[in-house]
Amino acid sequence: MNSFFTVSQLRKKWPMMEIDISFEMERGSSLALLGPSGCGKTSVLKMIAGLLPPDSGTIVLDGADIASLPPGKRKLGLVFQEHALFPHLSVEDNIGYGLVSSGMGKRLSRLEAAVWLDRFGLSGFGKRRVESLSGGEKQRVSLARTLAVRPSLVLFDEPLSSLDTELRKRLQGELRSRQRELGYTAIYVTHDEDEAAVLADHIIRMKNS
Amino acid sequence: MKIRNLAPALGALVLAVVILSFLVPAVCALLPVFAGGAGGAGGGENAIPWARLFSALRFTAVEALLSSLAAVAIGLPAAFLAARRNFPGRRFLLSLSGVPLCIPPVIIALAFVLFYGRQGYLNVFLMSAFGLAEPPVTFLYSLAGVVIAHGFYNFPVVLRTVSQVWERLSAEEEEAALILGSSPLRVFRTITLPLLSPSILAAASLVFLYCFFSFIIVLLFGGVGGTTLEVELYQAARSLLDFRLSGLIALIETLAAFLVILLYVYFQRLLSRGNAALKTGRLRTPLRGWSEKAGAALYMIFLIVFFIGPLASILLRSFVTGGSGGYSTALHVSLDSWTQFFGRPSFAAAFGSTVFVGLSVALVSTAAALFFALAFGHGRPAFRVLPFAPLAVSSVMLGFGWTLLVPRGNVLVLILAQSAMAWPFAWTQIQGALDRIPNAILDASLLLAPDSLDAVFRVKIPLALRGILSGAGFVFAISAGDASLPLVLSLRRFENLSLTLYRLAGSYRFSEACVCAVLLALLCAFVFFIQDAGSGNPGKD
Repeated sequence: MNSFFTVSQLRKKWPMMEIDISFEMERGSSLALLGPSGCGKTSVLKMIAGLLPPDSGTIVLDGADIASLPPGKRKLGLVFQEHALFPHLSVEDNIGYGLVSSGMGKRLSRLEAAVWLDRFGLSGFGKRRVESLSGGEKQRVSLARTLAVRPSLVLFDEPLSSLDTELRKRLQGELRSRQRELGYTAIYVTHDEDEAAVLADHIIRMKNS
Repeated sequence: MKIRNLAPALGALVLAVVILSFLVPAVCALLPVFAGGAGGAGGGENAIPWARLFSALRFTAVEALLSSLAAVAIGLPAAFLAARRNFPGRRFLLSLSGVPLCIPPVIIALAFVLFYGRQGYLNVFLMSAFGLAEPPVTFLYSLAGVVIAHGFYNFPVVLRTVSQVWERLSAEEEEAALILGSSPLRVFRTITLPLLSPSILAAASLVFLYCFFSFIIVLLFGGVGGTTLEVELYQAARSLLDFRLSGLIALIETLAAFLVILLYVYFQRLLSRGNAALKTGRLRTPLRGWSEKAGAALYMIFLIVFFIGPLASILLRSFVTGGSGGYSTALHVSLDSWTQFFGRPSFAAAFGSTVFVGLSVALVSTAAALFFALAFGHGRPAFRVLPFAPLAVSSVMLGFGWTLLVPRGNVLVLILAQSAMAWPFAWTQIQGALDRIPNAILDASLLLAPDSLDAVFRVKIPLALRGILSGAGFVFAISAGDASLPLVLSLRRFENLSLTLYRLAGSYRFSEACVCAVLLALLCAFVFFIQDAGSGNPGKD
């Protein structure tokens, strides 16, 4: 296997719980971390993203050990369960936020945001406030914001759990086709077995321990 | 007929009396402006000193603006530490948020004189440590002194308002920004600060309003750098007896304050809209890294030296006598000030009237506020703005209006005037407690109770009891610490602790003034303790 992303013996211990996980992924593949609430799935994502320090372990992305880098330098994206859109910014400024962080001018970032909105079927939404969006629209804006900075690995934390069943089914297909179209490597955290089967090439089952 | 059934009528009556106690004197204070100078004993034929008024308005606005900025600058680090970090001094920091509620401004003024004055502890320490001949700290009797006293006194307002929002801000937005490549500083500037801004602006506008109407602190420290409209109003009404000028100053003050209140209400609405999106809170983390630990330690030392230091000076000074008002000569520890103070012929009367007036004002204000909140709390948005009206009027103006109505004032006038000014503070506590009762519980109570009055007494009031008692305690502290209205009303043969304190400090009898301040602070803290203990845990409202 030609490994693009490797997690080795990533460990974190709390008084009531312990995580110890290792896996490898090919470029462009997708993986689901499946398990019940409280088993530590989201903590694994947060350790990969650099938001939670592990006790030990290595994280190698495209040949570089990223375990000691700050979150913004890891070249990966995270789509949050509740979208985490910035409520005080417009849709286009949400999508352009990461581009401005990387040094792009605001005007150019808005042009780039318009391209992403067009790609996600949200043309004309740029000036809207995020609170006026539906759940599905928020989900797309959140994904567009993450993908706009072209991360090599995208982490999804229960991306569809806040949506109703019908919309969830529709967006599952959409997420899968986006991944094939744009070629990013994806890790999904979910507690839904069917969702894991639709979204991912491989599944890791986690248990409470 | 049950007595309970009379409660709505009684509540309405008390509310009407309180509203009239505000409206009638307020109109009376303004009438001389429109009556062409026929308003009072001193006549009003003198030309209006516009340049002086403009200068006072400018000084008041600058003083209030700088004080608000100082309170925000001191309060923001405290809000961050209280909301987001766990460390040994956190409880102590949070307890400071009660300071403006239970320590009256007259005590703060005295504390600052004792600590920062030319002969204050800070100067004595610096002079002896560095062998200086002249006191190095001389800012107290200037604009800087007023601003620093206001900034320290009001920073707990910023601490309380901002930390409540900060601790419930979702971590995810900040994490998303970090992952998108922002530095922690940019995350703070572009995400955290904008999300906190309604709470910062609401707190700052409230502090601005308090400082705009600040009277005692300016009366004691001001004069050298300039004076405020509030002090000008007091002098015009009481010294010059120029009622037309007083009315005009009151009008200018009210219009300016009204604009600030509109801003405050606007920020409050933004804040409550934002609050709806807030999460239930997030875990506080320990201090991270040596720089954060050092920063927190320095900040706590700064607060202890420059804020707790002045307050502690009061307690210290109450046990020190001699030195003819100063600190540099022949001071010795003794209980003389305490025995002298308790031996004053007016002590018992002053203590008794502070408790009597405080309890009466608390009872009247809380009854009016409770009735208003229950009757109009779910009504039009305007009912959420109306109770703020008394904040647009200064206590000096209201007292001046009352003296025009009842030239020979009495304790009843004081109770009515203080209730008219204080009931909004009880209302904010009570309305907040009622708003926190879940709708499902209210619906259930309406379905299960024989009538809506029964639901009010058996569900709403018990669940909001903590807020009701906290409002009453708050109002008691406001009344007990208020030296402005008793001073303006100049009641015959009336003495209370705050007036005694003001007079003792004004005649440089600092040790006795400190004994009085300690007693007053203990009394307010005691009422707070009683209401807190008495409220128990009524359903965690």
